[in-house]
Amino acid sequence: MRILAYILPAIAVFIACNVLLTFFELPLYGTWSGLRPLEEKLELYEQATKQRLTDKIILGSSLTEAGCSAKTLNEWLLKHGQDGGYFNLAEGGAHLQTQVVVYRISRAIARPKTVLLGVLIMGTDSDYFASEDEPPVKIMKKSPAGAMLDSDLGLAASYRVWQLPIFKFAAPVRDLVIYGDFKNRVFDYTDHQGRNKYGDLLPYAVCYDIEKATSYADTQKQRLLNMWRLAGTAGRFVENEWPVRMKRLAHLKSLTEKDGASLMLYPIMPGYMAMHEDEVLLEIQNETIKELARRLACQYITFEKPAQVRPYELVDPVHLNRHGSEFMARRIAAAMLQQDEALNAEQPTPRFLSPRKYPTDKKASGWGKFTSAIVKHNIKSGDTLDIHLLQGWNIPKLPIKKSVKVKVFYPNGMQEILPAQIKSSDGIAVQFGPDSEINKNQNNEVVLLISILDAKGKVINIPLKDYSWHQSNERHHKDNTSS
Amino acid sequence: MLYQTPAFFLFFALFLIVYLPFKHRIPGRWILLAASQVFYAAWDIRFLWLLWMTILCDFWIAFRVDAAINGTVRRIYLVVSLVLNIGVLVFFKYWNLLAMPAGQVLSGDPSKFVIENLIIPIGVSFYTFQSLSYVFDVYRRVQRPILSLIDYAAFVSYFPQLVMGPICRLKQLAPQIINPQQTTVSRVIAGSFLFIVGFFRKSVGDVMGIMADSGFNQVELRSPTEVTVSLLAFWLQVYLDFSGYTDMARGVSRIIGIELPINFRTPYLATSIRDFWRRWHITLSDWLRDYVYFSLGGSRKGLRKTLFNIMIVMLLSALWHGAGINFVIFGLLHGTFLCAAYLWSHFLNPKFKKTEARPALATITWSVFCWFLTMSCFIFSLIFFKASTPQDSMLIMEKLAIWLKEGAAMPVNLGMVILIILLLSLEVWQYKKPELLQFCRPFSKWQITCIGALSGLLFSSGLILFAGKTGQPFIYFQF
Repeated sequence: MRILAYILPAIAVFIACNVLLTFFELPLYGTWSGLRPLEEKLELYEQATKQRLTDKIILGSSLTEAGCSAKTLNEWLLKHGQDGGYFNLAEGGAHLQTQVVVYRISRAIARPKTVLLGVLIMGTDSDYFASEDEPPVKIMKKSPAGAMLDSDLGLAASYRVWQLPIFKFAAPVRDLVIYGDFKNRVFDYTDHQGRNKYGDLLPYAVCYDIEKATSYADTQKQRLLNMWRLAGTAGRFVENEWPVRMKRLAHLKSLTEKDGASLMLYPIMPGYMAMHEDEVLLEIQNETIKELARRLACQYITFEKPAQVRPYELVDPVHLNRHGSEFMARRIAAAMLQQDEALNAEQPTPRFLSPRKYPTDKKASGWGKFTSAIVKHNIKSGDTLDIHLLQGWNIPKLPIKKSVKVKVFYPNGMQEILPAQIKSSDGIAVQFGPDSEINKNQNNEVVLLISILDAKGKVINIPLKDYSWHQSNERHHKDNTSS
Repeated sequence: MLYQTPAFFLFFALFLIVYLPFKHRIPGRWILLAASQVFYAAWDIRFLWLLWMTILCDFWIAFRVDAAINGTVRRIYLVVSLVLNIGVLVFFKYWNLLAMPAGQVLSGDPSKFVIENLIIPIGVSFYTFQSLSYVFDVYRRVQRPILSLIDYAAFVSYFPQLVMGPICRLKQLAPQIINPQQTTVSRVIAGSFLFIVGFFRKSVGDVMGIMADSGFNQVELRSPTEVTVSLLAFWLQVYLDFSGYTDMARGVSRIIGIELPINFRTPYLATSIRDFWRRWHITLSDWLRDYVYFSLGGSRKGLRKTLFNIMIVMLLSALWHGAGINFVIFGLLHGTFLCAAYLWSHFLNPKFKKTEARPALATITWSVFCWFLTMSCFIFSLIFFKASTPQDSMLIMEKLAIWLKEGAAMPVNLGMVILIILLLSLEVWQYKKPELLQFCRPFSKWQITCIGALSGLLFSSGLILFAGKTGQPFIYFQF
């Protein structure tokens, strides 16, 4: 009895502390796995498995994370009577050894029936030489999850323990105590690119630097062709270029085999190469994937050249954007279903238009979730608007004094394109000058949509991170102060 | 194997399962000894031989000292033990420091005798002093030699206090190892609570450590406020870290059924530097007093000799903590403070006290002033304790002077305030009611419930501060 009188209040307070933490909107730091984007995905994965939305997973690097829409793939598979569904567990910056670790970690939540692995045929230097001591594997292995990788039971227990708010939110609380803010929260691309419930990354941006993309693709293509020519056959090509990666693939295969899951490979190429794929590239990727699958004794998908070339849409020279990833998913679905219906389906229209409204969450904006709605009362003539764009990569500095257009949406559905002039640009933030007088209607709602005239007619949709109004009299005051 | 890690919890649970059924029998001592070896080997198995060398040598020497009738022979054996124990300490801690000037003088190459990657065996300063105290006691005929090597080995390597103290005497520990107290519910509760208090203290100490390290790293780039905040954070860290460890060690030992001596008695509430050293790392202070200060004559040989003895003891205390000119300055500073305090208490304070009784407010003001002065002296000395070079110490002092002159506001946030209030409450509570935490005693039912709730709160807070973070090693591990 006496020991219970001690233990029960202690447990009660422990539970109360856990409950209390759930009342605060604390950001996720991803301490358990070491990678916040992965942990956010794992949360979605757990929800998806609980709702029986998924029983298969897609693994790969960022090329797969943003380049293969599990949602679209599932829609097409369901349409043709295949139940279950894929969840996109691909991880940005991942090499093959990362995928082995991600797969092991994912088993703490559920064991999939199938693992669809996006294999980058065009290996980069980091793919060849990346060791176990490099991020993100290094980070994951040093994490609490990493310490339990070799024990399925330990990993599952560790995951459950780390779901307790006291552990899950320990790092943000610690930051609050020490610094008064969430200083150590790492910002990354997922802060401004949404996800759907299947784990797909949803970048809306469109690549505007086509020249850079073309040049990148040409260099990579030439390199691949040289390697292919040197090897002569797919077998030689794999032997020459894949010795380390084959070991890692074999490791993943053995793990899936142990779990009774099937491993399926599909070939991927950097975005712009995929966009302009030709017969030779198709042959190389198809032959390589067949050879890899033969050696691993696993399933594979190859792509046929479509009758009508439908270029993918890109975020940058390497990554597909949202519509590009949907197209890739339809292509995979077509290969899986062995019919072209998915491939020939209509493209989403308008292709480059962002959704009318991005989620507006002012509370969350401090933690990096974007808001792109600007609401402003009584805008005065001469006001200027600082717009901070959300880009995982820096955009080129926009030329000062260049004319740009700002598209404004009004709550009543009307829209208007206003002329503006760039006053300053540092690659992240853009300040529009006095020309950008926004309509003086009250409660203006602006969804940022900038047309940069230098971008050869392409329209760039960039989510908004932050904005600030400078009222004309304030600006005047500021100028005086600074001078 | 840090106390706050799951590995230790597992180790301790397994140990209790095996040990408790045999605790009052001879196998219990074997199990305790084996567990201590596993515990030490988990840190670094390479230095287990060194621990055993100390055990075997001092065990044998103590017999020889006791058996010898001739005073000179006894003294020779004592010197042999001293040379062995202090030699080990000097070799591991000061070799490279001494080798550089020696190399410079003898061969013109300062790195000639330097041993690269010389690791200081963990706990070496603690267990050598503990073992040495036994030889001293036998030499002074206040302790009979212990007959069982197993008991002696269990005493020197007793795992809860092996790596960071408290430094125990044989008469304190060995009888308890041989005949530990019953593991009652009250004892388990009292031990667990003490452990959790230590766990919490250590977790806050780690947080303070993060703040302290940021300011002491590349001092020249830090603002005066940053450096001041870091210094204050280090002031808290050094206490919370060491007292946290001691509480955890004492808590663990209490559950086993062995009471370890108190090592800290709310030192940050001390109102004089002498008072401070009576409350800070008590077992080391006692050791130095008993075996060095008294051996030198203590305060019985005139004022000059007394002041000299104080300086020697503080210098040795500083050198025990580490090698380097900064530690020497730290020791000399504290020696000077203590000498000043000695002079004050013997010559000025009695005259001061003779004045009429002061009103309560004046007494409180005086106490607060004394406390402030004491802590200021200690914080000032910590500059030399923490800074890696004398140049850094100078830089820190410069920044501190700028901060004192400009008086910039310190960044304060609510979380930190709550944490410090919680800590301060614990300190005041421990000061007012030391028996609740420091001694094992039966509790009433409502006391148990309150202690349970407080344990839950402190443990949860500690978990939040520890979880997912690479635990900072205890500061005193390096000593």
